[in-house]
Amino acid sequence: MSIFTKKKINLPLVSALFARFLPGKRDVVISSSFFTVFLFFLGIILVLANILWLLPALEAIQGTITQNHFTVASRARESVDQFFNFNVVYLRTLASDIGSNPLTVRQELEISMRDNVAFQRLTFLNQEGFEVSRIDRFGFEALESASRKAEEAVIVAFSGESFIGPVFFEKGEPLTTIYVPIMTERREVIGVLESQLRFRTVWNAMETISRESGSRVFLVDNEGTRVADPDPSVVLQRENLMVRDVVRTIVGPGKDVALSLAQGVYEDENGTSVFGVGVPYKKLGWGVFVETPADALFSARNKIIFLFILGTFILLVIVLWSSSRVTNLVNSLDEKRRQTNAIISHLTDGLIQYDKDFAVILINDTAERLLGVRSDDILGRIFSPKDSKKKEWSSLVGVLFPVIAEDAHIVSSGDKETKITELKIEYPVARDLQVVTVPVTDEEGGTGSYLKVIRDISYEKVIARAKTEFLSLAAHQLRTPLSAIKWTLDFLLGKDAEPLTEEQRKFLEGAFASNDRMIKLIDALLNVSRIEEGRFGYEFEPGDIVSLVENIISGLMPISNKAGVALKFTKPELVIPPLMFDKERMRFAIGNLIDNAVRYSRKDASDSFVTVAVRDTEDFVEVEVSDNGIGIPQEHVPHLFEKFSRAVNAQKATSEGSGLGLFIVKNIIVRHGGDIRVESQENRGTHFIVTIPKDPTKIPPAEKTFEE
Amino acid sequence: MKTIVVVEDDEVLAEVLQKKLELQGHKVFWVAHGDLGVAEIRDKNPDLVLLDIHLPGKNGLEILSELKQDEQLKKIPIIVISNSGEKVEVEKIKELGAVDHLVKANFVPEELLEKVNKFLQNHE
Repeated sequence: MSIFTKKKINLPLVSALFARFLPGKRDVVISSSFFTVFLFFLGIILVLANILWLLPALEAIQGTITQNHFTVASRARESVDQFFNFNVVYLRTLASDIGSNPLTVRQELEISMRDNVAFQRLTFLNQEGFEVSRIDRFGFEALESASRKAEEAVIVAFSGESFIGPVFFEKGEPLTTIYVPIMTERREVIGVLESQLRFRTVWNAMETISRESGSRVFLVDNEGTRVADPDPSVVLQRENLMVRDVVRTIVGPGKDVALSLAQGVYEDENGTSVFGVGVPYKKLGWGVFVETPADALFSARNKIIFLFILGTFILLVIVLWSSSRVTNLVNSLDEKRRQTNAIISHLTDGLIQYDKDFAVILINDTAERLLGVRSDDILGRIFSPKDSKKKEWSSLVGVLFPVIAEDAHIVSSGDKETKITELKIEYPVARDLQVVTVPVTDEEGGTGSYLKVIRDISYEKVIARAKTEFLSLAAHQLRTPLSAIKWTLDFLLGKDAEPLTEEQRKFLEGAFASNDRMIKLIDALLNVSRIEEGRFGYEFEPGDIVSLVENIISGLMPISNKAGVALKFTKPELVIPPLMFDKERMRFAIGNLIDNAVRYSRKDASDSFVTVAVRDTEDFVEVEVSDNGIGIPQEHVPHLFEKFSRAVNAQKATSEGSGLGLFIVKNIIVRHGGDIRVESQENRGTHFIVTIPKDPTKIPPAEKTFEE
Repeated sequence: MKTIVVVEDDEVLAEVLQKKLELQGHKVFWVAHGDLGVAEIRDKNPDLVLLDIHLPGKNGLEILSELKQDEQLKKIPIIVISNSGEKVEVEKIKELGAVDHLVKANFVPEELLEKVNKFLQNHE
């Protein structure tokens, strides 16, 4: 078997596509395993596509998060910077005021302390580094006795630069120191102004920004120690945060001066996972850090990742499920096709399916064998009657186009759609085939393709021929001794033999009559068997029905005279055009009716007659045989045309009569496309009316088995 | 007086025929076996032949065909007497050139005689 091999499915769309590129080939198939793999890879591609979307989205989210933190950090840095800038500027101004008028130092300090609430202490150091004047919040204080010029801050200040000191604590308060040089107008450093500032402002700023941003903003000095935090207690712990990469990158010794921010995810002092962004405060080498708990922060991102995974998962499930569904479907389709294949290939009849262009779509094993073709050679090929030239295809072409096949004749069937043809083939061996052609209707009711069912009837034909021969032989064999008896009796009854006594004559005549009945019976049996086998052998020719009837009547005249029955013929007025009929059979039929009418006349009557009329109606020719004989009993009428059926009164009238005559007559009339009916009354008479259609197309196409 | 050859395998039939024909004054020769048919006809050179179809040995159709192919013998009128009457067979017989055909079971010898006389007359 061809098309329906393992694991193939037919996709009409794809095959139509392929059909463009492979003309002449009709059905292209795709394997189901390919289909499964295809679906699987499609799924993979979709997942990858998903990722393509995901990564930029994630990056964008990440970017936004970082950007937000950076903005906050920058703001915090800004406020720290403002704090220092303001105070440094203030102190410088103060320093220059003092510098231009050193004697007013005490007043200046006093005024400044009053003015600027940030100041906690102001100290004036002279050129030798000794504290000359000192004021803190609560008033002037005792001075340090030792020189402070060795202090680093003082040294730097003496060099003309301002110095910002670290953050420290006094009584729980955060403080920071700023040192500025005091210079004369001539830019001579005459002293250092040291100020202790309250750092709490910065703390407050951090706290505010933290609160507003929802993150934790804190400050780390150049050694990595936390110096400002929304939570003061944390600062007091003086924790060093250099362990954190983020911190190290921003404020550590190995820091990258070009770096504008650092970010990372790490654990804070409580163990909470946080995302932190740090920006450097380059002036002091400090860092501003913004931390947000990772969970809350990344919730959005995590949601997206989760959705992605979920989506991918669902997608994969769908892909796998649908591909398994498809595989199952295809497999079950395959299974069905396998079963169908098995049935088709095991059919004992050949099966061919072909389309309107006579391209073979399907051919089963039996057909291949009967016609001597191979499916691979002929599938998809368009055949025409010319192909019969090729011996290998001659039988197939004969089946496809029975018109050109040898000895092809149509055997009619009841169904108008189906055609049954009998034909002979020679290749690969001589066979008699019966071919049934069936149109295959599709869903819309149109005919897309046709089926040929091929049966090898060679055996049946042989049997039929044998039957025929047997019957002929049997008939002949029976007839021979009967003829011998007939001739012998005839001789004895004739003039050439010696005279007979009355008694001898009577018996011999009886024997002769019986013998004749036997002969007639055999004739009738032979005809009936031919009719039943469909071998009655009709030959239709145009002829003159009127002259036939005349001829029959003249032939039967002697018999009717002998029986004392007047036989009359009523000719039609106008000439009837030639009618299509089988002369011999029609002669038998009409002759039989007339003979019956004569035979079944009333024996006691003197006015017995039989009238035969031929009438011309528009579509039919009517032949009526009427008599005034013994009639037919009503109960017998339904059985009139059955085999071996004789009415009671007919049997009484004469023992002659096989009961087959009317059966044969009806068959003959029906075979001409006509009809026969009877009207009769017992002891009154009978009318038989035969109607034959004028239109020769009304003649049925072939010999049917006669159904009574 | 004419010479008639009867080729018929059934003894009874042949006897009746022979009797009737001889009573008419003809000379009758009877052959019962198909293989002897042609030879007898050639030998006796009859004016008419009555030929059965079903015979032992060569059958009537073969004999008929042979006779009609023979230059000398094809002129002899042949009436085929058989008992089958199959249409195909009758056509073949006519085709081969027999002058008439009848089914023995449907005819009595008297009727056959009429045909014989008719053809003998024509032949003259």
